[in-house]
Amino acid sequence: MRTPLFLIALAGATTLAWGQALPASAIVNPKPDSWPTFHGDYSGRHYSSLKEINATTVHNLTLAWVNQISMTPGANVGGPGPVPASQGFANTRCAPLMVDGVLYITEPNTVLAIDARTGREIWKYTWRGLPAFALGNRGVAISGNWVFFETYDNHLVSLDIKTGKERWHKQMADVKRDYFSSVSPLVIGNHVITGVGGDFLDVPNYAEAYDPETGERQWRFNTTAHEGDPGFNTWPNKNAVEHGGGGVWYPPTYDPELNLLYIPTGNANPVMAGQSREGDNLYTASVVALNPDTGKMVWYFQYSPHDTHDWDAAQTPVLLNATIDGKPRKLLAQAHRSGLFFVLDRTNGKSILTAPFVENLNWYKGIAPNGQPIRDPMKEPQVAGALTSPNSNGSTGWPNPAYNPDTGLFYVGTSQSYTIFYKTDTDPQPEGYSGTERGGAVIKTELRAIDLKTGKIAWKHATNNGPQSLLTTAGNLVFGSDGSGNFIAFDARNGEPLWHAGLISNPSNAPITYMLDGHQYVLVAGGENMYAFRLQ
Amino acid sequence: MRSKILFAVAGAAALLVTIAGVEAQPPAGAPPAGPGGRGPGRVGRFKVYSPAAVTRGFAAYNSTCGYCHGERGKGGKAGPDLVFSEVTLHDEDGVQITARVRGAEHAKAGKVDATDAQLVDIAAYLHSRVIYASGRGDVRMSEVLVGNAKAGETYFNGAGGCAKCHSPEGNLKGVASKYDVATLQDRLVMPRAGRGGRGAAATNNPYATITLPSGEKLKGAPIRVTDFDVTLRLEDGSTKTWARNRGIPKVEITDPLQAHIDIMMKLSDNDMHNLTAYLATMK
Repeated sequence: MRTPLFLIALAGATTLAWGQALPASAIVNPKPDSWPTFHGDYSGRHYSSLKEINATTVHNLTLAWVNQISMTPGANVGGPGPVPASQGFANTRCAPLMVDGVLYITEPNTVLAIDARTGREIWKYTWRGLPAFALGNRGVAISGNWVFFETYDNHLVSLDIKTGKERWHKQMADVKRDYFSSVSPLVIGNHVITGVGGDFLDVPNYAEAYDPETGERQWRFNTTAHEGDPGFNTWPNKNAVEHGGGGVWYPPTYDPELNLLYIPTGNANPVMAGQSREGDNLYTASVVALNPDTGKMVWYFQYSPHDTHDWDAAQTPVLLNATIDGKPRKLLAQAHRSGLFFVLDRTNGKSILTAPFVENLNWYKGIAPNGQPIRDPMKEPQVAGALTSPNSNGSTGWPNPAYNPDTGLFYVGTSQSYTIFYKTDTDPQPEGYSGTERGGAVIKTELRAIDLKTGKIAWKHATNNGPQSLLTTAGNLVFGSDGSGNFIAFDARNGEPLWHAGLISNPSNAPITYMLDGHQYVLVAGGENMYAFRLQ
Repeated sequence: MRSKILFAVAGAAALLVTIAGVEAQPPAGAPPAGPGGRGPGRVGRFKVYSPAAVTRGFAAYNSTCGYCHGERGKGGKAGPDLVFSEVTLHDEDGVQITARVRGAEHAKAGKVDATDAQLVDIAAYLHSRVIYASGRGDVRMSEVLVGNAKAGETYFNGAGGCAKCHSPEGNLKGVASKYDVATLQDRLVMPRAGRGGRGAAATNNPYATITLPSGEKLKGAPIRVTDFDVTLRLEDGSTKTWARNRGIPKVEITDPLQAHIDIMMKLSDNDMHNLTAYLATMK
């Protein structure tokens, strides 16, 4: 069953042209020889129509190359800090972008272009940043001849796609206020969509759009409803709004037909003590649908009203089409950190389905007619402790799920847990987290397949990792991992492991796939190593 | 070199937290002292000042700034919050704070009667408050004991089923002298230490039973169990690995603490608080 790993030398392949421009149309309708956005396309499905590697052939999958990513700075360096000898070890958390035979990845404060045929570095850019919270960077965006990425200390940087030389950088937020950035930007027409977050010093967060040519800011959407905004009345006062959180930590999705941008938002602040922010705290822990040309909100849906458990909505709002009650529908599906699976009509944000995707949730009293959970105030953090399921890590997290239109199944890595939430700050104006959790246990971790139309679990498979980044393909496969260093191809129809490769460390990023020189490749990173697989 | 720096930062942070002895006796209603940060890496984003400077700064703040800016710099009727203030967050060693206090804008609000040295100390105190605010705080031990011990005893001997394995005169004798009340509560839910139950005593760890194709059964501590291989530390101390395919050989995990997991899934907060109160009587 176990497939040995072989290095395959693909000599002579490095003479082809590198770094060709990516026209906007190639993002709307990605070619099979590309992976032009974090999600592979705008939909967030992490689905590929490629099927050379399929449930029948996958046993012949073997290693094409492996590359240990070097963090030693090269010729391209920018930013306000001193030139570092190194940015530490690589720890790949991004989905690589693949355009014309070149992979573009991010590491801590670093962007690399890598030859997709050999794994060898083409160019590198190092940002000399100021001290900032380093959550993990989700990757770059590409528009035309330019690469865009966010630094930890909140700068949007534009690089030349061929050389990695910096064109410009713009500050998006003040790192001294403990803002940090982790999102891979998303290019929509002449907009570069970005986001910033911060969870420790009670900052208000926002998404923005920048001009891809000049770097000038085009609009800002505040994820806490400011005075004059609809939703301001879900906060007790202006001060609460200005300290209300709502980080934009995760790459959004986009529907070109509706021209709607779907941004998932972070939890409210102070994180675990809600006494200074009574109300639902819009638009935290929500998905907001924006017009990308104006930044104006069209609709919203809040998954965790008045959140006090650190359950952000920084998961993928997956856009998919399906027939519901005999009618074709444009849907948005999201497995939320709280353990609830939501299906919405993405034209208007109305609920289609809300259902738990794990067992034992005890934090809500029921589901309201509008599809929102009815929170149980006694399960908010209490000074004497509240035994709650799930814990603050949630039933799933930022590692991306996947949706396969061929099976109609939504795949997500899950965790079931209990914890005791303690409120530690009873001041009328608490600060920061203001709470903690202790005790409890993780009692089950599984990869699960959810039937989109019913919310029922079609299959589940025990793993050792819980949340995990996934890729699904028309070859009836789901690529994932088990938390024990194995990169695994599961049968998308029943969860049976069909193939695996033992890596040096557990997969750490979103796997991708693409065609190159007539062969389908699957790419995944584990810590500081990147692995490319193809059929033998 | 890297680890030395981390140790240095960690040491300074721990010292600072201790100084939050300044924070440790806050006025009623204020949160207790606690490790503000989430570890040295996080504190590394914030500059850590000497405990002596923070202590002096706390006193100077209260006599000079607190009247307008409120207790602990959280803002008062006459002055804004100084913890999340951009002046504080951009301050380096008191330079920006001193410039602000000595500047024309602040002069309109009132003259500050403090020496330059005191302003530097006040800055050190405000920076310690930033670190504290960025953390999670500590459980308020004196307020955890809210349950009814008698009701806890009833649950212990009845619906909870605790008496099947435990007794106050047996394996729980003196347990309240060993642990603080929050730890008692944590451990009654799951005796393994740490979130997720890591750090358990060896006697409480799950064990695995592997059934080989021959029918032979072996028991051991599960070192690694995947779909493709299983490694056990056997009862004789040796370690052995088997390849697996489609669930063969069969591996069953037994958790000696399964009863706690079962109770966890049905325990109400009232029952948990009552049990904690009952355990707290077992001095």
